[in-house]
Amino acid sequence: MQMQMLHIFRNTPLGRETLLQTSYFCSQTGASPVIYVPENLKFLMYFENDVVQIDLDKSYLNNPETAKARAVNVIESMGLATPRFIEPKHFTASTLPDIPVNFEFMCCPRSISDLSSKIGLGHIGPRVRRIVKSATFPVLIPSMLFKPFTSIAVLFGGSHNAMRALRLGLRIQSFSGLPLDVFTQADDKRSQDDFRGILADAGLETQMDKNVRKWYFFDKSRFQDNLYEISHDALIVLGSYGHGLVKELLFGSTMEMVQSVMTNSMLIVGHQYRAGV
Amino acid sequence: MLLSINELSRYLSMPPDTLRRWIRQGRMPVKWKGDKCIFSTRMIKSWAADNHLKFTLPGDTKADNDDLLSSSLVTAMETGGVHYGLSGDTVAGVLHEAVARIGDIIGESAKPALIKSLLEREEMMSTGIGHGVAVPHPRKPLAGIDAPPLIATCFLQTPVDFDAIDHKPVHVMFLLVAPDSRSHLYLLSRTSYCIRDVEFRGLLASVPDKKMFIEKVGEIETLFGKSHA
Amino acid sequence: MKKYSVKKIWRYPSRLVFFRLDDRLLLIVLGALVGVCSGLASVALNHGLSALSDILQSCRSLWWAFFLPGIGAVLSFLFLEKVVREGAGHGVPEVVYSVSRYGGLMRFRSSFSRLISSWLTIGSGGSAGPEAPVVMSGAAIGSNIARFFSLNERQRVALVGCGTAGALAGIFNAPITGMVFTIEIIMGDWSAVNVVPIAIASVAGAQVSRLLSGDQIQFTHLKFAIDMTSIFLSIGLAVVTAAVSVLLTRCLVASHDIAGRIFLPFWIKAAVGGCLVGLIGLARPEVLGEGYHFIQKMVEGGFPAGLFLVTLLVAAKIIATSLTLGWGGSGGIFAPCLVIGSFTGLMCHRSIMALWPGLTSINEGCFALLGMSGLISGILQAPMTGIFLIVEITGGYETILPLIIVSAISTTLTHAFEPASYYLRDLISSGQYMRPRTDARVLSDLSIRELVETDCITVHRSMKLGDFVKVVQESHRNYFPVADEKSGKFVGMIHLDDIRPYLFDPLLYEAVFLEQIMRADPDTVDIADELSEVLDRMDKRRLYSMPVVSGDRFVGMVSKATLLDRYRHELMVQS
Repeated sequence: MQMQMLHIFRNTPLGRETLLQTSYFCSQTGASPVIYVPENLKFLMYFENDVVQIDLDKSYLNNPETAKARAVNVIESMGLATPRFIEPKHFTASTLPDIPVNFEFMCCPRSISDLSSKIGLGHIGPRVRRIVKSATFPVLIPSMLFKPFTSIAVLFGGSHNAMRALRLGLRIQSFSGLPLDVFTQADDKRSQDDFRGILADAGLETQMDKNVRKWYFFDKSRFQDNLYEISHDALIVLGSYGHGLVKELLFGSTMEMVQSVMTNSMLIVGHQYRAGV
Repeated sequence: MLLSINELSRYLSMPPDTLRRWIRQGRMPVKWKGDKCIFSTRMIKSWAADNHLKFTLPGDTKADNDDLLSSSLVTAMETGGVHYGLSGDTVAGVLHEAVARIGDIIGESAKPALIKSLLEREEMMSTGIGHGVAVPHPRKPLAGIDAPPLIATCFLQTPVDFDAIDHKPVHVMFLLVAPDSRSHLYLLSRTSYCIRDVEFRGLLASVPDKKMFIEKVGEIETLFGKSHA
Repeated sequence: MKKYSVKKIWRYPSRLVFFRLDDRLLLIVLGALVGVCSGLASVALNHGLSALSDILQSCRSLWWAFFLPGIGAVLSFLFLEKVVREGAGHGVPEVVYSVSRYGGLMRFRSSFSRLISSWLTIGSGGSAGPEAPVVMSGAAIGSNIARFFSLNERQRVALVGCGTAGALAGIFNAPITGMVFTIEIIMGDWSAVNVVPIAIASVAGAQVSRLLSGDQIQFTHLKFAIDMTSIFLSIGLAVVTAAVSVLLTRCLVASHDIAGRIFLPFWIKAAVGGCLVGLIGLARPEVLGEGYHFIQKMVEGGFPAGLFLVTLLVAAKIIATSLTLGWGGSGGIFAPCLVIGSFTGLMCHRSIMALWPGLTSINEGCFALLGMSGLISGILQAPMTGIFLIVEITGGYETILPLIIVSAISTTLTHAFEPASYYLRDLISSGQYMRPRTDARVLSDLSIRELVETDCITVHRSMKLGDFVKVVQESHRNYFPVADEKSGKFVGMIHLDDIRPYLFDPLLYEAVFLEQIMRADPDTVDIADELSEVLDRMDKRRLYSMPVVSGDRFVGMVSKATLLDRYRHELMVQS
């Protein structure tokens, strides 16, 4: 069955960049894009154990008459087939459509409810966070400008979700054939051997040796500083743990830190993500 | 028990998407634990029974495999045994003799019915399939016989005219008795596959000893299995 | 991972050994919790309303008082649309919708948004009821508690039911009504697994309201003598209440339509509606707010109004309610129904008095009660709720016989004119009314993705017939999808029947390509289509199976034979 990637189309130049990134991602992984052109400023996504209301930024409703043609244009320019458009079939209230959630990926800019002028490094909108937290699919947060990625970089910190990120990285590697690098920051408690042990327990060791180009292992200085090693045109795959909002504000998370430093496109594996869809 | 959704879907023979939904809706006694499904085998079995579903773990299907194995050609031939020097110069005579030799396997009481049925079958059309080989068998699987499927290999003392298709007298008989028509057909098709083998026919003509004979049959059967896999 | 689960085990109570075997106990415990919370919500709204109307009481006599409902409606609308950004809608249908389609998932904001908006609308004098908002809050509280504890859908639906039961029980101090309403309107399903926690939540909600507001029934209990005459007269009353119910429903819909056709900013519409209600209220203050103390007067028999005035009041209240709810105010239909019902009862009483002045055995308070029950049953088309509500809020059991008659007749008659109740009409018209174990529900649960059979062998368009015959030998299906060998694009289908004429003609084996035999451009189903639509299409074209595509790729076949199999399993698993 073909994989599908949800994209909420914003009919602005910025939206075009994100759509280009989606198209590129799809052409690399063999997924097909599914486009939603919003007609209301809000919509609902009913996930497994959560319902998320997305309040869009006003620019999503720009020039509805040209939106579809433009979206098709962008996608076909990347050599993909004409995408499927979502027509909401169910409405919780007359102005509140429900958008299906059974996709394999979703592309989401750093912020979709705040004005696009606010989008910058170090800011992920609260709605995007909610999506990442509840989604059963990984969320692609594209770089500001479209930039084809030529390698995959998995940030592997040994946690349960990092393991899933690694598996996802390996899957994308197998679809796209792009080289895959793994980046790990050691701490006082764990050495490289411990991480190898974790991989061996998960039965990923041979796959790791076969498919990973290089395993970067940092044991000096802070992770932030080491992130410079990641190639500028790599797709970063990482897991997000899904803390509560308060915890996230107080202590921060890897996702937070990475996205405030890196300009790359990121594929984030949320807590509810389930592999092998 | 901890299984992935795909394994669970195989054992319940339901699509994984349906199972995902049932777990989410709380319609089956299974919970998520990370990417795996956790459940108690006893509870899911009773749930499956309540809902007319089948839940079979790989261990449970072993019985079926055993059944198939037991009806393999080699086993049937081992059960039936290899008999040498059957006397008699008519079809009825050699059949009587052959049934007498396997009497202790099928039980004395079943013998008359078996002979009657074998003769009926011969009357309809000869089971001499050429090259001096006959495969006598009952018309229908016999009800009264409580024995595993068997083939008795009988080397005749003197060749007997079976009115075979190539009019050659028969010197070897494979007496085939099976409890049901499925294994009957199964054994029949495998036997005829063996007989088509020139080398095997050569072996039959030389009246080999039991061990060598069974080994050869085993060899051909593996080949058969491969070509039909 | 291990540490995580130990640390947070209280967030996952269904994993405790104690609750793992049977979740009924868990549901009862959580149901009580939900009942308490939603009871608190209803008490809060009740107190808030009386506080706000006390504050505004002093302004009522001033000439500009008619602006108050307008201001309230605008504030309430702005709050809903701009602050919490809820979609519009009156509450109860959303709860039913989420219960039937999404296993009771509701947004957290719903648990307080309607409370505040309806507090603004009603407190300022808008003609609406606090019940539907409280019900929605209760439901959202239940849903969010279920979410917090990571319960599954079945359990979550039960807790949503607990929330509505607790809220309604709390606001009326009427536990049975809470239960009956939940089961009749929200769940549509009497199953023991659900009824028990809902009953517990009702008790909890009612108890909370008794603790905080005192154990008082809404209206004073009076003893009415019921004789044969009243029973016969109640039949006449039922006919009248049914007529008024139909009128009210039509007015609500019409007013909504008119508001929809006027091109003004929504908040101005809300203001206009509110001010019009205020103007009516200047003349007849009885129509303002939820109006419970007027009911009290009528039940006691001390409402000083003649036939003409009462009839006028019925009309005025209907118009005021339509203006409030249809033009952007926020609130429920329950309380206005009760008020209109008691006016209607009174109206009947006055007309009977005028016709037969000697008839003294009938009591006007009793008629007010019967009128209320008739209107509730008619509008909601829920006779049980109508009966139990009146019995409980008046604390009297004597009137039960005429109550049942009025409820039953009113429901039946209204149903003849308005086949769908006020709460469910939108859901029914959009095809979202799906009670458990109904055809619509099963079809909406099953998806094409689950039904598709993927064991078809795909062949290429330039394959020779001879090669295809070999493929047919190995396949056990009659349908063969044809794809373009380069792009993998799905181009057509071949059925075994299509090649039957050529099957025994080996001359053609090398000469014919599949492209020439296949049916190009067959009707296809997209993997994302809804099953009910697909079935409609199959029925229309008399097909038994259709190819399923995703994008331009073939995925598999969907057939009615498999559907029957899955459909049965689905029905069995659902019960």
